[in-house]
Amino acid sequence: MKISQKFTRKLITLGLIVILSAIFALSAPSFLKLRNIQEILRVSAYTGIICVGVSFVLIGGGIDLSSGGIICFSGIVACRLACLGLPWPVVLLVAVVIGAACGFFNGWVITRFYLNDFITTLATGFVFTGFGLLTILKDESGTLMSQEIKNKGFLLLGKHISGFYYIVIVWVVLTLIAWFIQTRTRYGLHTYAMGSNSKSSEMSGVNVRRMKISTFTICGACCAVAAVFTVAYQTTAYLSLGSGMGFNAVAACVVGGVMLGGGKGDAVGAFLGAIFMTLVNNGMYKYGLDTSWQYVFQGAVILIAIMSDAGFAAFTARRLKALAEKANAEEALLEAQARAKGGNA
Amino acid sequence: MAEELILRTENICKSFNGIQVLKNVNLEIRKGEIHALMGENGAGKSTIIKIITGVYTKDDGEIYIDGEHVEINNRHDAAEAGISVIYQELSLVPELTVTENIFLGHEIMKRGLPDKKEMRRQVQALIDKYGFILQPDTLVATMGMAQRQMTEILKALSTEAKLLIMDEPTTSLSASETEQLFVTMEGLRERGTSILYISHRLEEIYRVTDRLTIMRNGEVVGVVDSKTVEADTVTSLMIGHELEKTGVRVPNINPDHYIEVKDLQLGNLLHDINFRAYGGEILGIGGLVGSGRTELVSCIYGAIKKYKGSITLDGKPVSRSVSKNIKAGFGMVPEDRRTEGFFPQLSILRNITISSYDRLSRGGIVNGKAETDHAEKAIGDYDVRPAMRRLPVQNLSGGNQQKVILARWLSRDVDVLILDEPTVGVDVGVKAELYVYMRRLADKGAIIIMVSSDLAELTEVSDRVLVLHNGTFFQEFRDHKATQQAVLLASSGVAAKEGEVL
Amino acid sequence: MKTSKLFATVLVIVLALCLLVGCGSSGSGSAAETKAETHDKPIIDINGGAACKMAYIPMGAGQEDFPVILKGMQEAIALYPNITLDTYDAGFNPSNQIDLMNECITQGVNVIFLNAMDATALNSTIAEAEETGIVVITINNGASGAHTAHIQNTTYDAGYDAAKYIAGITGKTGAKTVILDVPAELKLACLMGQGFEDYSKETGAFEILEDYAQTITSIEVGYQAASEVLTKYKDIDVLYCVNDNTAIGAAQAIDAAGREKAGIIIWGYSGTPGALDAIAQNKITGTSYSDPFYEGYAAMVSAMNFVQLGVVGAKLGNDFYANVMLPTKNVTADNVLETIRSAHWDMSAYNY
Repeated sequence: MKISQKFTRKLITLGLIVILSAIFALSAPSFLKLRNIQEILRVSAYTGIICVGVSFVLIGGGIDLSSGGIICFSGIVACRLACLGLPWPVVLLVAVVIGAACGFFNGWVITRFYLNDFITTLATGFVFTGFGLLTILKDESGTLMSQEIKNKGFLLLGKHISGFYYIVIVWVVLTLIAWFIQTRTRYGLHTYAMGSNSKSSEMSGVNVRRMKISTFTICGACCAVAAVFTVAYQTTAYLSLGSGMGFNAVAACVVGGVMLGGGKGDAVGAFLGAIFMTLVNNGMYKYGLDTSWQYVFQGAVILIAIMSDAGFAAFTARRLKALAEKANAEEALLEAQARAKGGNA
Repeated sequence: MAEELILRTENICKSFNGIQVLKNVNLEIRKGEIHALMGENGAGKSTIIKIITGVYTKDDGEIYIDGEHVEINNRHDAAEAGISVIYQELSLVPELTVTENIFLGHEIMKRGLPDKKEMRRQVQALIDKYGFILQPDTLVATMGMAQRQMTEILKALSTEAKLLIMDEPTTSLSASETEQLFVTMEGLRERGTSILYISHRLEEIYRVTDRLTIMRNGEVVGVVDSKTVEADTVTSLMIGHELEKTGVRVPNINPDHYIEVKDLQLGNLLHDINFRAYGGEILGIGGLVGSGRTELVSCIYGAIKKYKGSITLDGKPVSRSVSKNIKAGFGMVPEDRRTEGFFPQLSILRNITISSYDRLSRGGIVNGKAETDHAEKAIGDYDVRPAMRRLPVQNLSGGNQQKVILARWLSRDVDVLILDEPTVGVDVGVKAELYVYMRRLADKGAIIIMVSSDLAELTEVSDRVLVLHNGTFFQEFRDHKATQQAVLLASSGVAAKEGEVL
Repeated sequence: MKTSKLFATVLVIVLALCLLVGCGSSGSGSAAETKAETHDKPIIDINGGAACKMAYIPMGAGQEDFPVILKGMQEAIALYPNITLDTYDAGFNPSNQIDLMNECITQGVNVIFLNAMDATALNSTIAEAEETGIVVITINNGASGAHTAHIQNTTYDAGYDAAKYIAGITGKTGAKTVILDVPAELKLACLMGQGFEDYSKETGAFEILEDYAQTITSIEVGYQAASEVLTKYKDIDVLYCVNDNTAIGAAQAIDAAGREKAGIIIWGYSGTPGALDAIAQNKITGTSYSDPFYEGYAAMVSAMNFVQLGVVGAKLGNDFYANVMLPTKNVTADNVLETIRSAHWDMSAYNY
């Protein structure tokens, strides 16, 4: 028998995406334009790459709200390095190392001092933004300067190849790698175990502390990748880079079926969640809604997504319970029959 | 009726899911007495208490308070009737003072504001009346456990409780704190308050109670006078008819393969622990809940790292890291499978294979087929039902969840298996199966250490039993000599003739 | 200066600029002559009744002058049912502004109005918009990349005129003055302080004690800055503030310091409802007033002209094409009520 719960859950997000797209396509003619689709993918990729990292943390039972701060810090570093004329691989590498270091710090602080993830990453997010402020270009009097990147090689990262932005390609590749790690490697399976029950995993030989630190490190590195490509596209970095992304990425993951509290979901779900969130934004603009109604609409659609998730969870729970009971009853029956036969013989 | 009864229950019955857990329970508590309630785990003590205090509703029977018939349907009714419970985990707010805690939820108000002066005055009056060593303005957080318990009692008295129910009040107290509590209880008795006292500890029963009700399998099996009754009588009443030993197995002990614990000390809980557990035998560890059994085996497994002393396997030191020990062939079935054992949302497959990825993966990448085969084989071998490897473990029955955890270790042929309360919440049929698997593993030469509160299990399954009392081993029962009664007596610090005193 | 006169000036400037652009190919000597790309025919024939789509992207819906600017734009297209104007909320985030710019390009709008959050970050999308033939007009907060037009209130002239006016009140030379100025990085865009100082240098009417830079423009920051300045200098005649909130904060600081209020002249910039109210109540002396309504109006009129004339500023070089500077007027207790009556700000919170 098959219980393809994971797959069904993705169908829900996919279904919501299709329904939304259909509505937008029918009511807003510009929705299906090639350029619009490219744009949706580009914006999704920005959120999506962060979601890849956040999905690791969420599956492992944590939460990371510092993504915005890491994006800001690593993005500004990337911008400054690119302005120095360094080749893009160097810039990317340094930014990723910095992002990973920020993530490592998150994990280390949380596990070393037994802190709450939510508040800790909220706080470290501010710290990282502060580092960004320290790093950003200033003139002699200490005022911030907007720095335009003229480094041709680096700016290439923000460009597209026959309509596909490089960030989109990177997003897809990272998602596939993450999905492989999560479902096919020892590391990934241990992450699920940790998210499902951290005490049990400790008793089963999982080094929870090291695992937790590593999920945060992955998350930080992913944020840095997203930051570098976005900076290349925008040709500059500024202090509000990444603001609000922390909550946004978590929300996208949850919409995609990654469970808050851990143990469920994967990077492919987060991928779909990122598309969904971007789609909601993109479609909303098409109606020329009043700003206040834009927010109401956005919130309502996310609410619907989460509600259908909860509904699905309840449905699966019932179904699995019934399944287990039925199987037990059947076996009991078979056993009774076997016993009866044995008795006769 | 010779004495005035504060509480009388008549033929209380209760069933859960068709299983009768209380059968015609009659309980009588006199005015101004300390009445003990004893029984093994699952005898129905807590169920009857929960019915009296309105947590559960009874299926049948009557309750009389002060001779008057009362209906108790919720906690509020119980409080109205003058019944108060002092729980094991105290319900005080540490950040508030004694006075604030006592009046929490029913503050005396004056012009819309709490009247602190009046409340303080009333608390002081209560303290004076009962002669407690307490200050009304002390922060609860700064007080010791005994004082906290006094505060809790005071809180109950402030609502004019006629009957105090104390559920294992001494588990978290030191010896001197326990004595302090007994003095307090005696003071209350003198002032006419009745106390229903639940405990496992025989010595406490002798020390402080007047009468004793003993329960077994949901029934009251005896009401005796605590001062005159013999310890043997109490334990045999609790255990009932001792089962005949079904032939003594002779374990094939390998004297060269053993775990040795030397001079182990863990905080104030354990001291001077010395023993060996040999390959081929099942070593049982008995003792009361809270006697340090779980902590002892956690030290061996490496889940507790900060102990003093040495633990060695065949002369080589045992690591203080769980993952290293698992690699070396250790396995553990923890006491509380829900919080420490399984992964509720994960499939049966993952729950079985989680500790075996060292064998099922190459370069960190898991071999999906090997993983499935491993799990399928384990599910078949240990008869996990339903045999659906993708079913989340939270959907299984308690017994099958336990089988999954056992399968996790047995499927990788562990060399040292530690089991902590392996059959709690497991039905009888599955229990027997688990014992077979354990025995089979022991016969292969593995070291098995089993902690259990289930006396029948401890005495039947173990080849040798060590009993903990006061933080160290008190008695050892070799060659299947352990009887339930002997173990129970030893757990309370009474030497039984069957065992050797250590 | 009467409001109608101000309005007329605005229109004249705008029309002149547009004409200049229109004849760009033949003109000489101005910025317009560079490589102006003019079409023979209009982008959209607005006057011929063809549909034209416009979008306005402020920094965020909470931008204080956004509703007033919008009102001005709507007023300008009141007679053109064929022009639609949508607004978008970027929530004060440059990334969102970029996404919204892309959205507008996708929707194929003809004109985008923008209060840019970042002078650099929006350049690539602005360039893309202009390349696809969209007229991009920035208002107050510009972008460094090439685009069709930028519209803002004059800053240098406002400072110069305010200095002239204040000199008239003090009627002496060497009046002790502190300027509560913008931080250095904004000084290129906000030249009020410079204008004031230049007038002072020319006439010697003021003795500038300090050019005090503050980072955030809020009443609290103005209060703190002024308190500091007041303790530092025993004798001050003029506090020239480069925005209204700072001026209001400074007035509160003087109140708190318990000095004779009438003795110190406080001047602001821009003329928000709060500042007009403070002037009417004699809390601050005056401000360099401008009505954002006319920025919106001017931006819209320019846009319509660019579209009708077929002018897009892309490929014009590295600078924006047309830089429209709108004049300010000095408002004091003398003319404040008249100004309030004619202002397009929402003054309903104040009783006038």
